[in-house]
Amino acid sequence: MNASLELTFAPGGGLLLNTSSRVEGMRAVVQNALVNLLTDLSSDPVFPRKGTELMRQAFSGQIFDSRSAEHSASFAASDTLFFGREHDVAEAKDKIKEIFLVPKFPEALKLNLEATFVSIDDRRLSFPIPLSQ
Amino acid sequence: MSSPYDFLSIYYPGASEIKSDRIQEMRSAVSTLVRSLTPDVDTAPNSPFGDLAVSPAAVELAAEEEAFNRFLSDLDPTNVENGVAWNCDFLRQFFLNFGIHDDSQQRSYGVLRLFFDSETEREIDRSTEFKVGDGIYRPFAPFAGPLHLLPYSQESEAGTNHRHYHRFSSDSWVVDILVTGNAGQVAVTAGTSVSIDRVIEGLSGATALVDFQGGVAPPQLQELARRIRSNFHTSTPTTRGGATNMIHQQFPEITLTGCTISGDFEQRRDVINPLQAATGRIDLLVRSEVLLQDTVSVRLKQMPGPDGSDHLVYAGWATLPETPISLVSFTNSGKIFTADVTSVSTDPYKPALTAAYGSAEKLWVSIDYQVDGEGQPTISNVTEGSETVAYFDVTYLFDPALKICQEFLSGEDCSPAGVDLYVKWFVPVVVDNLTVEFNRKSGTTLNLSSARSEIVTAYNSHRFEAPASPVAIDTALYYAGAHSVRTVALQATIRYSVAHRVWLRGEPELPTNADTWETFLEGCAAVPTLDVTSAYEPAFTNQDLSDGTLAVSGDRNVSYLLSSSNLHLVEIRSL
Repeated sequence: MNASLELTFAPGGGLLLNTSSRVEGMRAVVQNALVNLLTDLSSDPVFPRKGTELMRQAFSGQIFDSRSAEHSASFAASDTLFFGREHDVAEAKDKIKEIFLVPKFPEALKLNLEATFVSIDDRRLSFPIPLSQ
Repeated sequence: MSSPYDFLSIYYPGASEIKSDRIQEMRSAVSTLVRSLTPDVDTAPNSPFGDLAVSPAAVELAAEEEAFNRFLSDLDPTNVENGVAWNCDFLRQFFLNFGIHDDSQQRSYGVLRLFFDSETEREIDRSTEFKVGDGIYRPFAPFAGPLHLLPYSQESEAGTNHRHYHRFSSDSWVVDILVTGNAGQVAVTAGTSVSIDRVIEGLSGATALVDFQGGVAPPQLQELARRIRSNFHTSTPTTRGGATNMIHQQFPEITLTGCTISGDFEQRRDVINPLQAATGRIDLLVRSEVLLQDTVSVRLKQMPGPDGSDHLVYAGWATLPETPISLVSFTNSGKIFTADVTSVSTDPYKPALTAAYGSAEKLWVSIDYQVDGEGQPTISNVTEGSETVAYFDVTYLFDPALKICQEFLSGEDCSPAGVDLYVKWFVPVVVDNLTVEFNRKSGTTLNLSSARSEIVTAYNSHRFEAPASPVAIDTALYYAGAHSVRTVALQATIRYSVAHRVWLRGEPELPTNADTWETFLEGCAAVPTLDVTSAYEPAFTNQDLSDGTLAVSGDRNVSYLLSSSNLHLVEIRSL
């Protein structure tokens, strides 16, 4: 069973590493995928293709309506899925088969994402990604 | 203990010098290693352990690998020779283990010409200091005791520091001596004036005869590495590799060396004794990049010629201070005369033409007495005692490397035991004409001067290990902008001696009248010449040895003499 330390997304951005808690199996793979979604593309010199342009687009005003949000979300999901397929070391059943990234606008000028991950054996995990407070 | 080398700053690469694909490979290896021991640890990128431990470890390992590769590179002299060196301080210390040291610690060698007003026996103390440029030199005296200067007519003894005077003009003599010492900061070139720390009676002047070698070049790691790789043979002149390696190590400015040993086709001095053991013979051939020109005066005595007393000649030994590679002219009163030159070997172990182009060859010269249309002699002469003599200025080409190597290897520390080592020049293949017809590439500008220089260098660098061939011509012209080479026509002559005939009967019986001339000529044979007309398959074949001249040419002992003026590059058409 693939295991990793648990990461918590801190309010206001950033990650907290919880050294007393661990995630395993599919949850570990999903955690990696979430990190990838929110990591800026080409920010890691070891893996230039790691990350997505989602956050940069969101904070640079390139996401201004539902269509642009869906467009960015789809690309980010696709990039994350393919990167994971290339580098994940989990057991086969825990690997991700599909990623759904759905943008939601709770209020005007506010954007959240609903991420759903489907494993090879069709297990589903969903997480909200609040991009705006 | 010396200070440790700063491995981090010298060998470690910068971030931009580490190849990203190597980091990827290293990360994959680390991940595989970690998971082989702890299979449940997620090492994937984006995981905490993957990003915070595995990736940084991969970068560090890739950097360490690069640093170690650089260190290993320094241990291979091949890389240093090709210009890749990371730790120069370490390399200088490292090369000392191979007996290779900086040029700055190596002795410098050169030849001085000392001018005297008389041919009197003299001694030059071995501690005499000659200041040449800003360097200090002393005579190279291979045996104990001072240099002993003798008149040319007086025989020298083996195992001594005897040197002979040679006539320079009607009233001056010269002695060329090898000197060695510590070079100064300024390179010594031919013609540099010399000052001496003491008065030498009769000495009227001194000058550097050749460009001095060694000692002033700044340390070059590439050159030191090259010497290590060529030191496979020991540096003693008892083997082919050892002899040439010794010369290159001591005198790196010498561009070409060759060696013929007992058993080689080109070695005709072999002697098989009754016990069927071959006595070792080594001919060490040396050549510098440039031949120098010298002019000295020779004294020839008027005497009856071969046709009797009605036919007068001026004859005598052409005692030249340096071994001539080519005789340019004999002049008297500003006029050039044709000389009949006979090669005479002074060493029974170097008979006939095996002595040619070395110190054992002496030249007997005779020039016909001539009168002009009004019956007046055209050769200016003087009466000295009972003799009528004429002084002829002899202009000749010599190689500065010859005397340096001859004297260096004659020393008791260097001369090999049980082997007869003879230093001489190559048998020259004198190119009279090399004509290359080529087609030009349409629309291109030709750089013929570059092609010319490369072709001349290629032929003059011909040696056994790297023979000259028309491929050099094709390559040079191609890169100069030519489309193709159509024809290569070569006209060259192999000259087995600078003389026209060679004495074959041991101790020479010099002519003084018509009868002795007849005897003398009967004891001689014409020096053969061999025409070389094929540039593609040079006919370096041996001559018919039945005439006893022992002329021989082969791949190991010939060298081209091609001057730029004899190379003709002819454009045919533009394609």
